[in-house]
Amino acid sequence: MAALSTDAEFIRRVSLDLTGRLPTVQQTKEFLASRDEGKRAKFIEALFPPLPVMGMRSVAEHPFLDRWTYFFNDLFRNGDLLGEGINPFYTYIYKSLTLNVGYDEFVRDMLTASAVSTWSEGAANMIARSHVFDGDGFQINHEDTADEIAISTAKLFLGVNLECISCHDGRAHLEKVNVWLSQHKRADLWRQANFFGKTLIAPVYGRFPQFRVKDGAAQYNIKSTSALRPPRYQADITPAFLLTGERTQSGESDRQAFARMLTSHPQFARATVNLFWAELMGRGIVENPFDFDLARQDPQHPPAAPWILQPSHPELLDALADDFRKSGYDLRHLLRLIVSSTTYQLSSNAPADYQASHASYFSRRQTHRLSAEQLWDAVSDVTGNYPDIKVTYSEKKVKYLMQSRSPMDLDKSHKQLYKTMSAFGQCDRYNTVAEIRPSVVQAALMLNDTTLRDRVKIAKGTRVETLANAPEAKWAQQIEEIYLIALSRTPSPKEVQVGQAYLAAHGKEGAEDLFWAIANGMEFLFY
Amino acid sequence: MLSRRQLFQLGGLTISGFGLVPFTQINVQAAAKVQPRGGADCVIFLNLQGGPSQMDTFDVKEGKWGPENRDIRTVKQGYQFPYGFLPRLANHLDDILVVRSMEAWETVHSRGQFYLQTGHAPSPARMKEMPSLGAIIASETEPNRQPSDFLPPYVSMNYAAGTMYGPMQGEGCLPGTCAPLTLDLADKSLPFVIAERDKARFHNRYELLQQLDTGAAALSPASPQQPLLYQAFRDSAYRMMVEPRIAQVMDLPETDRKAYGSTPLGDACIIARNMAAAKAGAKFIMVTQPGWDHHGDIYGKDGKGGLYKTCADLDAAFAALLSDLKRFNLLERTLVVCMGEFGRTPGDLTTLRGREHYAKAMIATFSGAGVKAGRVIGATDEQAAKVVDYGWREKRAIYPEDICATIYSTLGIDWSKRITKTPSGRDFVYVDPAGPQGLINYREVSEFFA
Repeated sequence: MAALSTDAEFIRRVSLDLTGRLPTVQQTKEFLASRDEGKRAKFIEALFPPLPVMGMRSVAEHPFLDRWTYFFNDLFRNGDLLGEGINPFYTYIYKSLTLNVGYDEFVRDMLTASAVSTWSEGAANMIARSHVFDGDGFQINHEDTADEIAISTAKLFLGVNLECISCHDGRAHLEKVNVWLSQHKRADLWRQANFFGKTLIAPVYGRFPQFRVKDGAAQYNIKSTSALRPPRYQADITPAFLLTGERTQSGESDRQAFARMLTSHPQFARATVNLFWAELMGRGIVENPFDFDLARQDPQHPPAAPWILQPSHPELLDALADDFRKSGYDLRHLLRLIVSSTTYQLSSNAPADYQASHASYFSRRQTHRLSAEQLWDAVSDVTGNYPDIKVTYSEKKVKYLMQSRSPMDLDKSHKQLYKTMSAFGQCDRYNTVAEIRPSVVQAALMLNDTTLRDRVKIAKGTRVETLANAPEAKWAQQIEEIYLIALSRTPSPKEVQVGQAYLAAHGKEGAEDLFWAIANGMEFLFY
Repeated sequence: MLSRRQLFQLGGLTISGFGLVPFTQINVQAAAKVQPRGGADCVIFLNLQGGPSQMDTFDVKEGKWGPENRDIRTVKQGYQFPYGFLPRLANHLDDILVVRSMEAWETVHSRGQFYLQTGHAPSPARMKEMPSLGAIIASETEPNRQPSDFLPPYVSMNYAAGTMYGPMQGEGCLPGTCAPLTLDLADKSLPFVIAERDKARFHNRYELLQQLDTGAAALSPASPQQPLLYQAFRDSAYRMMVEPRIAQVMDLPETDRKAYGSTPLGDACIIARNMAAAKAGAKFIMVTQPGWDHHGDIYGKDGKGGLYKTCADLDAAFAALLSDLKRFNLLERTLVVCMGEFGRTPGDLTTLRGREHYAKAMIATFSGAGVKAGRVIGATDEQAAKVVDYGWREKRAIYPEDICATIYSTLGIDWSKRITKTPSGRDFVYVDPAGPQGLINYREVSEFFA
């Protein structure tokens, strides 16, 4: 097992993970200087926004809220397929996180939300996102839409990928892929989908993605033609929850029943804690988080050979899930728990006998690249040069990419930057999930693209300007500040020397070059 | 300042170009019953994104819905061609083989494009791990890379990211070195080109980076995968950028630009030509021309827009490309393919005065690398609604899989090979006989070359 991370490693990592941003110079200085044994716990605490209290009018925007709202926006694919619903949906999520609504309540709320128009009511956008248009683009295919809702909700909230059995039964297809799914049928999916069978999601005016969401106005017709999948066969499609077979009880609507069953099932907690574990640790206890094989989870009932238990640490997963449930599905509690653990705080330096196959043991930190948004916002914070990103369908402007409502904002206000961010794997809220794998194009963009070259130029009010205008006597101090913000550590004497020598040789251009070199360094790009 | 030789020796790397990361072993097995024909050093693939209208381009049909100025004329062998839409290509009919008996499997853009780029059905379970044509070609040609090769094997230009066409298909489960190098010619500047006036400054900065990058210096084989990969990629990118010949490859002189139509498509074709001419390791170059999805006003308004634009752009770029490839004696060893993901609905136009997606008839053209050009293969009915003559020995239409097999074959690649150690555990066959309509024995269309 690796040793514990250094202070610099830790503070940069937890700040990027919890808030998407680099720690400030001030925060870093204080932390590095502090001898308080409990300083890591205190630092973690300071990254969370205040909980609302009586008498508060509102909670200010906060990096933690920006970062996790962005996370859910990616997860729920809040993008141009929702049209002007993007902003109300964004605000709804932001508010729910601000109020620290229990995750189960948050999910139930979205599953059961209705709307006269998704362009004015945010919550209903989550299920409206799954809409499927018929070929002509004017009518919604009701059954396909219900199927898509069933697929996306099972994936996001239970970690189970039902897409396979949307086209064919599990039998004769999935025996080598997923034991549990190989035992299930298309009809199981339709029964799940039929909890939304009576929920009408219909375009308000026609082609544009503005939807009415209303219960009691529709019906799941097994004989209808699918726009996406092979024809359905005759089957009993009385709504039944896939994991238990439970049906709607009296006094609740189908949707309410589904929301209740989904959020009270143990798999909800397990899938959720696993998802956030993966987000923070780089790898799930079940990997990947949307590929659970429910027949391979229980150490008391292990699967038949050659299958092995799926979770790398089944007791840990169960313990985390149980704790999450007991906390009232409190997301902040879960995040705090994970980042406070020794496992999370290990160094990325490998122990002597480390092998690549040890990844599932979590015995070292797996460094990975900054995400597209983290990278851009880090460059902004280091240089002090912020782009103005205009929010689409609004007059609002934001400073950080992590505050944008969708990639459309960037596409419309900074086309070139949008392309750069796409190359860095930005989630497009459509087909592409966020990707942090490196590529040659990324390296070339960092070395030579205008997006970075322009940002390290001397501009009014930037740190680059400050360095360029500083007298020689102040260089060491300025260089130290750059290292503190960019890498959360003080520079070595050698690094200061190199910096000073370069500035002496190259003057004001040298200042720009220094920022460029820091931004292209491996220590900056990875954490 | 470090000399160029010293720069090349930084980091202890000895191989130039793209193959710096140790090549990961992937399990590839062949069925050993396929004899690829070879004959091409390089493939240029023009991707007519959106689905070109077959009855207005290479399988032109008369009809009351067609404007007069399509200027349809009968060429030799009873083949008709729209001189009005594609005047310059009309002079290159001896350089192209036209295929009219193709069918697509898909009519959704992203699925059709996926098929075009991989030769496989877009199965949700496997899409992420399936390598594209270019990635397979990169993987297969890697052992033959020369130290002097400085271009990546798989290059993709002008494909718009994140649209309803789906992402550019990448390396899937193959190593990162098989990923495409993507360029967008609509950008004002290309990241791989350092302007002459910026070169000194760039070398200064890069030298400073080498001195300061303690993170890179600390890397060892025990380091996590991602930083190792990135460092190798950064060195590759740097090498490409300082390679003196890169300027020639990326150069777009005004005379050339004009000849090719002064469009992003034209510019990309110039670079494709240069990459073929450089013989520096580029094997599969995909150039995408968006804009063929004419659901409305397919014949434009007042003689502008619609097919007038897309055809004019293609005409200039494609004709100039063929011309130059011939002029520089490259056509014999370069395979040029031109096709989209599906065709368009035949007969009368829709209420929006356009045509919708159509899978039952589509066109493709082939040139170079031993293709017997100046001919037509296959035929459709009087509306281009269905294939009436398959044009080859099989009793079926030609599918995207057959095209993929043909492309692999000209590059000397055995298309029956399979990758066995995939993340999902399912074998990936380069061209899979199990298609959507059951088992079909896809094969290279040797009739193109006979």
